[in-house]
Amino acid sequence: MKTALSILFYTVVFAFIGTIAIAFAFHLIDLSDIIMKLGYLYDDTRMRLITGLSGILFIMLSFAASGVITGKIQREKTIAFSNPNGQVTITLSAVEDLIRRLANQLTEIRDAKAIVKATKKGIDIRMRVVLRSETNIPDFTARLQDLISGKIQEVFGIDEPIIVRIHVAKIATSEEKSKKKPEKTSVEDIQIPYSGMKI
Amino acid sequence: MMSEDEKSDLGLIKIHNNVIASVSYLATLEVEGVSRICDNLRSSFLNMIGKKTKSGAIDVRSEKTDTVSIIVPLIVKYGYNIPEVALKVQEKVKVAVEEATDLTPKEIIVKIKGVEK
Repeated sequence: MKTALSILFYTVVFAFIGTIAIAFAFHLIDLSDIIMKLGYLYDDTRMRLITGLSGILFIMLSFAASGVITGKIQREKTIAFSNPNGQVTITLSAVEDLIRRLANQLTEIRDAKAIVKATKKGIDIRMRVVLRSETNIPDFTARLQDLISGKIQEVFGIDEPIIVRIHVAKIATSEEKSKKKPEKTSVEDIQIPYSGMKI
Repeated sequence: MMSEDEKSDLGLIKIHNNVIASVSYLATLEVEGVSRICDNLRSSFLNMIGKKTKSGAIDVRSEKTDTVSIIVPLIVKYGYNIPEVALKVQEKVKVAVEEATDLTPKEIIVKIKGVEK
């Protein structure tokens, strides 16, 4: 119901804008008439207040409508199972969160991103990782695939097949690491002028 | 928002859906493995203006047959088994709502929206 209302809201707004544009293009609206009405809206205090409040209302309505529509889209991206007391749905972003946290615990990985899709064949995971230079890539990626599929099956209790595709996007050297984290100068090293003087 | 009605000798007792949502909210937070309850646009706005809600984005839908459906969107702590946490939430919410309102929820839908430390 909410989604239908949101779609109706946007349809009405766009249809109104479209009608105005067509009427303007075919000279169906008198220009001097528009100027006169706009002038009235601009000058009259009561009309200015109404226009301002309508503006705020329209902004709030558009935010609410977009929230409902995007919420609907997000709702569709879930893994669901039933318990005796009701249904449990797990959003795919929750699975992505879990994979990211799991990957960040491994010392070989510097950065990781995951995209999860639920397909008829099972769960398709695509990972983009940045590894440290000293990592043995074939061994590590095989271990990572096993780890992710095992952890997801354990945590989510999913029996469906899990396909993990890993894309090693970059191999970070230790120099890059040191560039990103500049050495901090200790307080003791900084010489403060006149620090030993007593007044 | 609809309310749950109950008749006593002295008159009608109405339990607002917000009350059921608050009971569910507090019961959910007691479950080990639950990090927090998700917020919606309304609760975020109320929190922003300093009026804290005790229901988050929990949605209570009442039906004509005196039954309620409760939708609980939540974030689970990292390292916990999600189906187990969801099952515990459903059981805890069911017991809490039954004890507090004498209503038996028709279904408790748990939506896991994320994983946090």
